[in-house]
Amino acid sequence: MDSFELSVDSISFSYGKGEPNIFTDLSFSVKASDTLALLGRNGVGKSTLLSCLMCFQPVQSGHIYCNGVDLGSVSIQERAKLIAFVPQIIGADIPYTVRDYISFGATLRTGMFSSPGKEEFQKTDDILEMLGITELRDKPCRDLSGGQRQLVAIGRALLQDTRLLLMDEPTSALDIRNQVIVLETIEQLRTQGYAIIFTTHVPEQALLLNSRVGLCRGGTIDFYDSVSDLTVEVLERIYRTKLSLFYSETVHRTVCVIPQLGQKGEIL
Amino acid sequence: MYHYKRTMMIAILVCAGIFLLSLVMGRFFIPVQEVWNILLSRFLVIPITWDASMYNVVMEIRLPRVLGAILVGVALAVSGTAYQGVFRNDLVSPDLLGVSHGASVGACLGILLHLSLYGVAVCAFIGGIVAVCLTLLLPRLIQNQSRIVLVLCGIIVSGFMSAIIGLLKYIADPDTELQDIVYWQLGSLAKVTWDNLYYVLPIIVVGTIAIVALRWRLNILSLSDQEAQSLGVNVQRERIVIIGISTLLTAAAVCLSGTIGWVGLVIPHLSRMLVGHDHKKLIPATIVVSASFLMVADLFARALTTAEIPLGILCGFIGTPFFAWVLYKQRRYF
Repeated sequence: MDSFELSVDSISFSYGKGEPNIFTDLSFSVKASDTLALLGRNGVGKSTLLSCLMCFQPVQSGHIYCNGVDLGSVSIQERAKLIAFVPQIIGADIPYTVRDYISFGATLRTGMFSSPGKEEFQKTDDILEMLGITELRDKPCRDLSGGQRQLVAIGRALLQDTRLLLMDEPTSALDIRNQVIVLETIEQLRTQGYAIIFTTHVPEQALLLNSRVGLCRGGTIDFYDSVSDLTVEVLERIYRTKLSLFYSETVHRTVCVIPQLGQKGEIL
Repeated sequence: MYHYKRTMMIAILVCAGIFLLSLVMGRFFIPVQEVWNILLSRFLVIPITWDASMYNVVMEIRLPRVLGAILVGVALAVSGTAYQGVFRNDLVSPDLLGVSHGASVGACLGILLHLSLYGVAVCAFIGGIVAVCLTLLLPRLIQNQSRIVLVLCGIIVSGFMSAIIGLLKYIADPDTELQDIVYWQLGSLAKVTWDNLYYVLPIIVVGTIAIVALRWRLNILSLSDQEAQSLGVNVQRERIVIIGISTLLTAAAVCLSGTIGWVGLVIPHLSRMLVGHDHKKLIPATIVVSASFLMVADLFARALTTAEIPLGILCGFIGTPFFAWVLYKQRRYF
C-alpha cells in the first residue's frame, strides 16, 4: 500500500462559548500500519475527538490534514474517500441484510440514481469472507449479536476503501470472545497497511495490540508512541484509581490489572 | 433476488387482473371481451361490437376512476415509504406527519376562494409543506428527536390542521361550498374525470419516477445522519429533496381524492413483508401493491352497496385492523 498520513495540527474544541475546552492545541499524526488507542475515563472526550476528525463537529481552531488535504475545507464526498467511520453500535434496529448493509460502503462509487453493481457485491462477499462472517450474509442486521454487528460495521467501512478507519468503542458492548475477535481483526487490518484510531476504556487492549496510545485527561490528550512508555503512575492518574502494571512471565507481555478490591474506588 | 422477481411477477399479474376486473364490474356489468375491445379500439382499428353506453361507461366513467385510484394509491404509498425511510421511522406516513391534513387545509382554502383546480393543487402543496415543516420543527423545540416524539408532533399538527378545516367549514356557504368540502374531505374517487387527471397525472408520474430513481439512496438516508455523512452523503440536502417530492405527491393525491387515510402507512408495511426492507426492491413493490389495493378498495366502495361508500371511510375500515395486525407481527422490534 502507498504511504498515508493523517496529521492533526493544533486543533481546539469546546461544545460552545464558555464551555471548557475538550482539548486545546492538539497535534499528532498517524501513518499507515499505525494503531492509535485513545484511552481515558468516560466523558473525557475520546468520542468527541473522533467526531472532530470526521468533521461531524467543526473544530474551533487548527487543521486536520489527510495526505495533505485539509479536511475542513473539502466536501463531504472528498472526506469520505479518505476516512471511514465505524460507529459505536450500528443500530439494533437496522433491518437490512448483512450483505446489503455492507454494500452501503460503496455509496461514494455509486451514482445518485443507481445502486451498487455486481462488482461491489463481489467485493462485499470477499470482505465477508475475510471477516469470517460469510454465513451471516443474508441475515437481517437487527437479528445479529453485538459482536457480529460490530464486525458488519467494520465490513462496511472496509468496502468504503479508505486507508484510515476510525472506530468508536469497538469492543465496549462485547463479551470477551467477541472482544478478541474484534481486536484480532484490528491487528489483521493494521498488518494490511490500514491506519486505525479507536477508543476504548480498557488499557489492556492497547497493551495487547502493542499500539500507540493517546491518554485523554480532560482538556488535553498526551500521546505515547509505544505502550512501553506508559507508567503505572500515569495510568492511575488518568483513571483515578489504583492499578497495577507489570510484566507477566505467563503471557510474556506487560499487563494492566486492578490490584484488589476493598478500596471503594479510592480516588487518587 | 429470485424470490423478489417471482413475487413482483405475481404482483404485477394480480394488479393487471384487478385493473380489468375494475372496468368489468360495477352497477352495470360489461363482459371482459367488450372491455378489452373498447380499450384496444383506442389504439387499433377494430370492428365495433359494443353499444355507445358501454363505451361511455368504460372510457368516461370507469377508466378515469380506476386510473385515479392507481395514481392516488401510488402517490400516497410511495410518499409514505419515502417518509418512513428518511425519518428512519416506520410509524410515520403522510397522515401521521400532518401532510395530508395540511394539504386538505390548502385545498379547502382553494375551494372557498373558488380557485381553478390548478390553484387548488398549488394551495394543497403549500399546505402540505407548511404542515411537514411544523412537524419537523416541533421536535427541535422540544429537543427530543425520538421517533415517538415525531409521531406525537405529527398528531399535534394534524389536530391543528383539522381545527382549521373545521373553522373553514364553519364559515363556508352551507348550500354550495360546505357540501363540496365535506364530500371531498371524506375521500372519494367518484368525481374523478379526465380533466382532473390531466392536472395531477404529470405531478404524480414525475414524482414517482424521481423516488424510483432515488430508491437506493433511501437506504443510505435511513441510516443515522453521522453514518450517512461518513459514507459521503450530503444528508440534509438529499433529505430535503425527498421530503419535497413526497409532499408534492401527497398534495397531488389529496387534490384528486380528498383525504384517504392509512394507505400511506399500511401499504409500505405490507410491501416490506413481501420483498423485505431494501428500498431498491421495496419502492417498486410499493407501487404495484398500492395500485392493486386502491383499485380493490374503490371497487368495493362503488360495488358493495347500492349507495356508494366514500373510499376514505372504507380505507379506514380496512387499514386500521390491518395495521394492528402489522404491529402484532413486528412486536419484537418495538
